[in-house]
Amino acid sequence: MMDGAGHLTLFGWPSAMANADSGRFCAIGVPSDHGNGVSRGAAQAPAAVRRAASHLASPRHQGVDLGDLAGCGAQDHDTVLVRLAALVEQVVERGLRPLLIGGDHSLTYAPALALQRHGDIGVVWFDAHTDFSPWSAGQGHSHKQVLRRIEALSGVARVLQIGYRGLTIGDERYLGETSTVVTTAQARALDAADVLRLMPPELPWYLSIDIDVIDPFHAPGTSAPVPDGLEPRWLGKVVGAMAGRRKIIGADVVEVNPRLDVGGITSAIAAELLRTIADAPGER
Amino acid sequence: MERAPGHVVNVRDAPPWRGRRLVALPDLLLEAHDGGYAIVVNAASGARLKVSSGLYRILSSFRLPRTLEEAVEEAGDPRIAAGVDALLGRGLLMDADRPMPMAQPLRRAVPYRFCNAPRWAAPAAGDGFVVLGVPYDLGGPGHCRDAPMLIRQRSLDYAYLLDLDTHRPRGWFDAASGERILKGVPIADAEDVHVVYGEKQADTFARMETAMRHALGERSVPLVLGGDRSLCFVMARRLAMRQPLTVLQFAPDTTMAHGEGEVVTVRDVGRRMAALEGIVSCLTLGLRADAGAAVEAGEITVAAARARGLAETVHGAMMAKDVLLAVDVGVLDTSMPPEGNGFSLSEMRDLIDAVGRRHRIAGIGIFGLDAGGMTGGAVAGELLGIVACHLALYAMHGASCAWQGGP
Repeated sequence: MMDGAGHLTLFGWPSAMANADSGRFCAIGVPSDHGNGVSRGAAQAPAAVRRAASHLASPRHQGVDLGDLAGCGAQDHDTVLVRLAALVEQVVERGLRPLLIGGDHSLTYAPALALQRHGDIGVVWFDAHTDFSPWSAGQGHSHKQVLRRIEALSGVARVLQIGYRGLTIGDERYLGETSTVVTTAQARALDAADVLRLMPPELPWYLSIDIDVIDPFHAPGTSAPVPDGLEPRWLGKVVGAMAGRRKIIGADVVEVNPRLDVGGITSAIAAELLRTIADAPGER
Repeated sequence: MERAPGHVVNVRDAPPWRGRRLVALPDLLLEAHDGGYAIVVNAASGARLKVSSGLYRILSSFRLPRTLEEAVEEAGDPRIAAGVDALLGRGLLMDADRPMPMAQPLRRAVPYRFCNAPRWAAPAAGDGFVVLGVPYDLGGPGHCRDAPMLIRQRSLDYAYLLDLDTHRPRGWFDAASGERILKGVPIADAEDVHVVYGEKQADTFARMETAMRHALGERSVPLVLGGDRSLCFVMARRLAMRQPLTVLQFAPDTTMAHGEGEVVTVRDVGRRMAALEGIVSCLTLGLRADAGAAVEAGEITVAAARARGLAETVHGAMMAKDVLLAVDVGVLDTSMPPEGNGFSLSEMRDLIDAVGRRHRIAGIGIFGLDAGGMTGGAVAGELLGIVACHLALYAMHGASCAWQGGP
């Protein structure tokens, strides 16, 4: 099922689930960019982010790293998503929390699908785009409409989109009754406590971080950059607060594209965010 | 052989070339051909022309100098005469014994249009923007000639669409301000000015000025996609004919150096514009602390602008009502990660807003985008292309506010 046995693991974590304590994070690389119509390269991110993470201090809480989902390059996108959802299900059954390294953002549909089957969840969507393009059955699944599909899942009780910005055809600040959109301009005026108030504490939350939420001059290695984004420091503080003050049932960092990166600075930010999530005491 | 524009040939008249020897241009190449048309390239000028197969057959009959009667059996057919007239008019045929110097075309076609806006067809009577690319960069050291194409290509992510009901431009929703910008504001793309490298700068500038004169209606605002910022000189000279004008340049280094030759350069363009008739003032904002030369009068550094306040800096400057806004994208901090040496996009937006609140933006120039010369390589260049699109649209919004009663 998994690739990369014996290779570099995230933060040097062990690669077997057997002895992992319940509640620990379980890293899974998803080297797939099937859902990105703009550019190839996100499939290279799991390896690049693990390399960048090797330069960081280990987080306080040790997790496990199962390596990469095998065979992504040889399978259709639907198959990859089905297999990823099944793997996330196994991870959850073992009492662990998925920590995915994308891959493009379309993959987040798989963990969201699996996790909401266990009860209502909230989803935090850090992204420069709302990913709410129209979708109809039979259309290929992509990173442009993935949040529209996730928001429609019966177990997704809340969506908090943070980072929408730029010039768009329509006003995308309203994504439905269960959703809240915080634009980048609004987010800059908020601190972590303000953001937490938008996340009901009784709800378990999944954090999905599209690296393009960050200003592209800080994080250029991504396929659909939008200028004037958030600063990594702001994002780190907010993610740290979420991980420490809310029940986080899983997370991902997606859309890092090493092919477009400059000196690995985007992978480094992604690694730091993963470390922030894993390092937080958090409710498990 | 010359005739006035719009002259319609009456085939019953004897055309002036009747009895004269004609010849196809010696530098023609055939790029494509099928049953319906041919694409002919003038290798001397680079111009491409699409002609019908019928016209191409006539053209082929004049490989050697000959009269129509010598070249074509059906010389009396009025359609043949009309075809010869068309070939002469398009410069594919010439008088073999009295060759005319080749006239350069004013503009040339481009593969993409800014935001996929309609191709310019005629000067508009009302308010609106006309986009004009000028791939000229011999006024400075950077390679900026590819910038018009790069900016247009990246601008395709911001599609120009019409409202379903009103059929007027929809504009774009600006997530930062929560408002729709450029709603109802028409944009047309007049393609690129034809630039011939090797000719005199004055000839290129004259062609650019003629292209502006042809394309702009009385109330049109040009968006010029450079090229380097020496092109601002042409914009200033043209726009100052309408109203007294202030030129506000955003540039990372001096524009007020003394000219050293006949060529307008990025370093002396400010000083040269200040000497033009109709120019009230010429300001440059955004010089780096390490710009290398002492800051001249009318030049303000990034640090000084920040210390005073961005809006206060703009409002405190002595400016005419009409302002030509020229942005050399080098004024931006494009380091990765940002080091704060130049303005951020957010700061540039605030500055442009400040101009639009008090002044009428009469023209917009985006200059100095050297995609290949940046730290960060092609990725940074592409990114700067996106930033340039945003700058252009923000500046257009600032200009349109004057038409719509202020921001």
